[in-house]
Amino acid sequence: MSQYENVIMLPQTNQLKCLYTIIRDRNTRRGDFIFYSDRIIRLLVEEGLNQLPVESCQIQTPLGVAYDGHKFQGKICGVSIIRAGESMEQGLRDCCRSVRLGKILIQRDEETATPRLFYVKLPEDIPERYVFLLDPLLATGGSASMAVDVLLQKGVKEERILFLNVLASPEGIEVFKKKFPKIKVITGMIDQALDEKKFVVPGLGDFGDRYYCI
Amino acid sequence: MSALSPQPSSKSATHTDLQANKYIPPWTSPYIIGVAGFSGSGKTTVAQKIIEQINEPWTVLLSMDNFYKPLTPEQRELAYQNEYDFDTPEAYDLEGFYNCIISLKEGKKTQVPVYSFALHNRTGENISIYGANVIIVEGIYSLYDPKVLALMDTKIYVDTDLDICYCRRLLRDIVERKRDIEGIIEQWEKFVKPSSVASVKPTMYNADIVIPHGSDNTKAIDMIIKHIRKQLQKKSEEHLAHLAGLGRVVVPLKYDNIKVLPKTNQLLGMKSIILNRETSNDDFIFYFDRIASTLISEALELVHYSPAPYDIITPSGHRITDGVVQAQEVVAVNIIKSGDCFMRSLRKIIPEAIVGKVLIQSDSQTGEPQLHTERLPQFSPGCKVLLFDAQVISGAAATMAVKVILDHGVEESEIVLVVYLASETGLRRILNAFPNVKIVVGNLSAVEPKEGQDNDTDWWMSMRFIDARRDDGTPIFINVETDRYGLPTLSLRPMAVTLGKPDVGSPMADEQSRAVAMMSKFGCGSGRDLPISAISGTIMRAATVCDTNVAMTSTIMPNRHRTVNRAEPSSLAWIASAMVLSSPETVTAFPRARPPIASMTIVHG
Repeated sequence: MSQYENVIMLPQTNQLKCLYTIIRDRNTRRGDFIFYSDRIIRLLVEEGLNQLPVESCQIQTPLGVAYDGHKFQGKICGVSIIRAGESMEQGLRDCCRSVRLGKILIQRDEETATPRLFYVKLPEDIPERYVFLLDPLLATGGSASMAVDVLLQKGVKEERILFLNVLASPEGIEVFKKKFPKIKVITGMIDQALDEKKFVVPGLGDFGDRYYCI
Repeated sequence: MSALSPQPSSKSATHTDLQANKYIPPWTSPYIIGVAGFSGSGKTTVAQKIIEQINEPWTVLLSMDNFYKPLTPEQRELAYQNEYDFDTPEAYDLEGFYNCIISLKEGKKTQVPVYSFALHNRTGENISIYGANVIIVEGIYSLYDPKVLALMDTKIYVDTDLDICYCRRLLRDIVERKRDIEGIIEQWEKFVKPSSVASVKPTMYNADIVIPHGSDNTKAIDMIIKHIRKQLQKKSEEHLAHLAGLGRVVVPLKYDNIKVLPKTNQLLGMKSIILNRETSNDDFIFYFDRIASTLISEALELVHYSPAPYDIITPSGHRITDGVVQAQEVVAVNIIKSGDCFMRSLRKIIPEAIVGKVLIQSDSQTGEPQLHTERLPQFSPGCKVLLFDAQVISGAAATMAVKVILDHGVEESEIVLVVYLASETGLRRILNAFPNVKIVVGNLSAVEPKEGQDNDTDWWMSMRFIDARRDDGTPIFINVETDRYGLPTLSLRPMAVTLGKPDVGSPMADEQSRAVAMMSKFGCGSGRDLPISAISGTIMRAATVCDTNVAMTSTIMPNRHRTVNRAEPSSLAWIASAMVLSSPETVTAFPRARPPIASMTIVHG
């Protein structure tokens, strides 16, 4: 799916390209932006969940027949990077109804352009869980790296982190893979590059703004 | 031996080859019965008795009155003065009548004009008939035109003494039509009597069967019904044998048109949840919805996309020249009831999708699929149709549904069948008949359907959505509404139900007493508490799930005693009577049975 190890890109189907055409368009209004981003997010979540292991088990069907089935192994939780990452929480909840959610607030310091950690709230038992880290855009990878550092400090195992994003830059993926080779990055599309202002090109604008404000 | 499972055939392989690649639904070559006789002879009563006894919902009564020629203003003036001759063959549009019958005979969707006696003109409205298995044509000249006679399977002439007919006509016109007696007598002497003797009576020689004394002759009517039943059974057997032929292994199943979801960890886990008998209904529905979303996404890959005809500018001002847009409208069609399980997921992915419905049930004894109702939209040219069914076991229902959609003008290659669980035999049957249909499957089972399991809608999966719902004996509240397609939808929730005495004299009285009779068979006497689960196998059978409510779109009676919403007025009456029996105060809204339309009535069993 992608040239990097542990980077999983959604199959680039016409349907997916059509969804991205809509959300990249600056004339797309918020209602449509939300609707079509949610569809992409849903595909990302399904792809992420597919990375989790299953174990075999035996079940009885309603007809009373024994069936060699499978059950999900391990527990998960979601951690969103405030604010844009919160847009992906519902997508996760649509697949895992009562999933625990943690939040991390990281903001870019306007003067130094470096990320600063403001707030962390995570489930107590997070070290035992697979963690779905949610942030729709992977640009420089600065804030996501900081969020991962926080998770690792809390005792989450690196190979148990899955980072879900809607759009990534090649630079961001490079930075991220160098730092955390065991983390699985699941992305919908990898864009051309970062511009001088560290925005993804061609990109889709500020995801949080488009999802929540404008 | 179940009728649809593959049977060793004594026929040669080439013979099977010829048969195997075409599907002929029962409504191609429907059984057509003509009933003629004098005005007032009791033809309509005879026709209704036949329909009642045949007891098949896909029976249509077509009156020749619909084919009166529209009158000119001058003729209309004459008609108001009883000076216009309605009783000569020239008063009828015989060519239009013939075209209608031949179109029905070919199994096409046919428009029948509606004639108004008040206006002496066609109202401009049409009644459409599709999927009829038995058509009864009734009218004084229904056995007149040799071209029409050639299309009829049974021709009946009701021979009643002209004096009796005269009395009946007098009575009917005075009491029901409030006409003055002089006018009636004048019309009788001038037109009705001469035409009856000169033109109607000779058509008696075209009949296969003549019934003396008209509708009072129960022996003759019984014999006719026995004959028709035998013919219908033969027809049903041919249909079944044909379907079985479609499923036989002639060629290995080609996978070009079949997309099976990859066995990802999530799908493996969810399949086990779906199959597990311990799974709660909430979980069952939740995980089915998740799988449905994946299936729908997969199906949408088959929609045509094209390069965006314009450049896209992103918010940061970058130009994208290789945008992609969807180039095809998507229309959904559900096979009631389990196809409805996909609706919640569909609404999340394409909220504005047009949804059509077909109800196809397998006969509980023979397994023959039967089209009970179709509510399909006008398909726009070139649209993609996603046909939903939760499972394909024998493939008979899906094959029939595909045929119905094709008959409505959709290209075969634009139909995508979306199904969660399918057997290879079922898919082979569909693809043998329609090799260009695409199929998206969640799980493909190589296991051949076992005896008693090849009844698509009766399998465990659909049961999960309703029948098993209240096995604890908690009775269920029934609430009827019509959806935007006019289909009755019942939602159910727990309540105490008491069987009441039928309300004699009410329009429902007859239906109610029949319902009471039926329920007492299940040990539910009048005035006793009735747990709905006791009748869940009968009235509650064909239910469907919409959102979190359990809803019901039709009623199925045990065995052959069915009343279904093809015959809307009657099945609504049935549903309504079931409701009234349940508890009058729980009825919040139920659509009243429509008054019979002009002179054409779609009749129930």
